[in-house]
Amino acid sequence: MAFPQYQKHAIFILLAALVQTTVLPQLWFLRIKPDLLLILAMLIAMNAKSLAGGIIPALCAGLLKDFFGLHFFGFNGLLMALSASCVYGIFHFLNKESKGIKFFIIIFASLMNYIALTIISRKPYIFLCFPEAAINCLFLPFLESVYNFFTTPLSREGRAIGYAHK
Amino acid sequence: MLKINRYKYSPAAVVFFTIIGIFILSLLLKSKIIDLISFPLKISSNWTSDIRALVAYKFIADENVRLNAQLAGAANDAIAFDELRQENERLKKLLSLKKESSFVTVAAEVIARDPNNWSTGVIIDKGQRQGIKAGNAVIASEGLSGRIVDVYSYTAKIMLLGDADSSVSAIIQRTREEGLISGTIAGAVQMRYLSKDSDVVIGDVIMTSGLTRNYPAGLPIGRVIEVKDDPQGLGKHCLVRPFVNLRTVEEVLVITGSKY
Repeated sequence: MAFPQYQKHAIFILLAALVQTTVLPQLWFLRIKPDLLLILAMLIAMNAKSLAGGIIPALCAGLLKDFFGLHFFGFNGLLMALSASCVYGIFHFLNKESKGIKFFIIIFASLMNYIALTIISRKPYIFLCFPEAAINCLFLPFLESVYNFFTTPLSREGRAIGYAHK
Repeated sequence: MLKINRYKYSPAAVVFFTIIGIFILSLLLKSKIIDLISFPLKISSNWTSDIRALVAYKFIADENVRLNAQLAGAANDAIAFDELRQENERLKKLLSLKKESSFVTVAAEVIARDPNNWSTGVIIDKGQRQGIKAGNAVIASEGLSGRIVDVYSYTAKIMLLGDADSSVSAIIQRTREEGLISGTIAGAVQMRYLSKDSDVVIGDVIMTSGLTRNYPAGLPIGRVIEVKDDPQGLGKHCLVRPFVNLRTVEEVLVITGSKY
């Protein structure tokens, strides 16, 4: 049974939100935890075929984060939608094959988030940006491979062919 | 161009209005959505506890084998028993606290934690229907945990002591000196506005003073672990380690009123 892409994205976002709010805080040993929803939203924006396909999942992921968060309802939703639109725009001008660009985009999204937060709250949250961006970059390859495995048919077929050759 | 019923809309306008629509809808349905997702959260939360029990199993089983080779076969039962005993102890503590307490309380379980790194909060499985209101103080078996900031029908959000926006008036138990307990952006807890000649020392116990609304006096908060001079040189502040482990708090009591 083939799921449409947007359904896969919705399932991914819901699962990421559940892991982010229940499993990760109990199992993760550091104070700063990875932002799975942000990474996922940026991955979707990078692979989106249309502007709406990039922005809407990011908005939903951000709003989901806002539902669980304490302050500024709508902050994550609007900012992640904005980041996704920038990423969609940037990614169509740059070389998609370059691995480094994805890390740059994750750092950019984290930075944008914390700059806005620092301005709005007038507290130096910007210091939290760098450790979070570093941890997000560590998680990016893992989440990307999971995302590609479930959303790109070629990735699965490629593996199947690889196993057949072995 | 998108064509709907002979009218033409540009994709950018469609995206813009969709975003505004989703945003307004989510704002209106916020409480319903949070109540709705509390069910999968509970399941996920329980599942996490099971995973933790499995992780603990490995350590405890190894130790058991090393110390008592003859009991190796019963390791599985011992771990399950240990997990139940810990849970039992925790709940007993909570129950005795509830019995001893002069407050009307509602016991609740933490079902989710704040996904952001810049705020410190949790969601509990009790809400308006159980009599919880915004502003209610929240305690655990060891001491003060935080306060209720948002209430929905079946869930509520707690701002923990480590949140940068959290603040509560407190006193040093030994010297009776007053100060303000607040969180930092790094999630730590500090006591500010102590006078320059304050004789606060490491190890002093901090308690609520009762000056902040909804926080009864005498609730234990934590112990001083570091004393520092203010950068301006006008006073002192100290870092406090809360008695409640804010990262792993699982069961809490919400103070909804007083018995007297």
